[in-house]
Amino acid sequence: MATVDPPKAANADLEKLRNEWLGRLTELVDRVEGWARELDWSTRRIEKKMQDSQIGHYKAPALVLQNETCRGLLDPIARSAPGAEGVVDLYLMPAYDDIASLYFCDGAWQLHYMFAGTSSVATIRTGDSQPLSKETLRAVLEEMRANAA
Amino acid sequence: MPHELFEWQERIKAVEREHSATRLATERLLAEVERDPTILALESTIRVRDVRFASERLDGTYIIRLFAEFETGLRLCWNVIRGRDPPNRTRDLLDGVAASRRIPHDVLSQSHVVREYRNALIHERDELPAKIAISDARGRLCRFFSFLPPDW
Repeated sequence: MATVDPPKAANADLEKLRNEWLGRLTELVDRVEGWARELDWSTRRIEKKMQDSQIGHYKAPALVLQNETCRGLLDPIARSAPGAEGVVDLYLMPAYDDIASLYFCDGAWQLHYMFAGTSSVATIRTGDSQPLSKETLRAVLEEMRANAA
Repeated sequence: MPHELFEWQERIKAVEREHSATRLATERLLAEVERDPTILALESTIRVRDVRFASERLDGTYIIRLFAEFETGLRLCWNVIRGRDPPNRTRDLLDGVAASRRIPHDVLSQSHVVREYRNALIHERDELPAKIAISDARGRLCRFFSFLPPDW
């Protein structure tokens, strides 16, 4: 699914960076897609055109999730951010409302979300984080569906 | 050049993300220059009040940008799906697209509220309509856009 349009001056290091990022993303989309289907959400993969000052233009996998009339989008945002090696957002569609953010830190995806019972914060990204798992994904999707209804 | 609905919605969302980054940077800079105005000494053309104005006007600036992305996408879509130039007036553009795509009236009117707010900002009207947050404007415009064809 992920495709690459390498810059002319691409070298082996940049290609390695790009492939690592696309591999990390593809693995995330695979996992979320599998869990979502087990939770009775239908899924559809799409491609997003990305631009990165270091690794050039490329296409990355994104995932549309739907349960009845509630639709979400797992959307790759950036290959790197301070303290993280990848950022992916989850939006409520079609308005693109922020629901959760995923950061790849220390070899694992962390889910930033305002979980019930935690203190409220200004933005989702400054909210509490928990490791991404089928259970944390279920909590987010169920709350998203309840709020969308 | 082919266009995809998803890409245009992403462009609208990207403006909101850019606003968040700029808001953070402006607030940090403002706090810093109020604590130590001498940090602007090397950039002699910038004054503390410029930073303050930039911060105060930031939301309006990004409402205008957000609507510009939305309107550009609508005009390109109109060109392709109707095979002729879009109307000059933005109000007519929204009404025309809404009619041809059977967009619900409340979705259309919510987008007109953003358009009217954008107009008030551009023309510096004395009486601004009620302020619309960037996230609110993005939601209204993305919802309208979701009624366009998946690609055109």
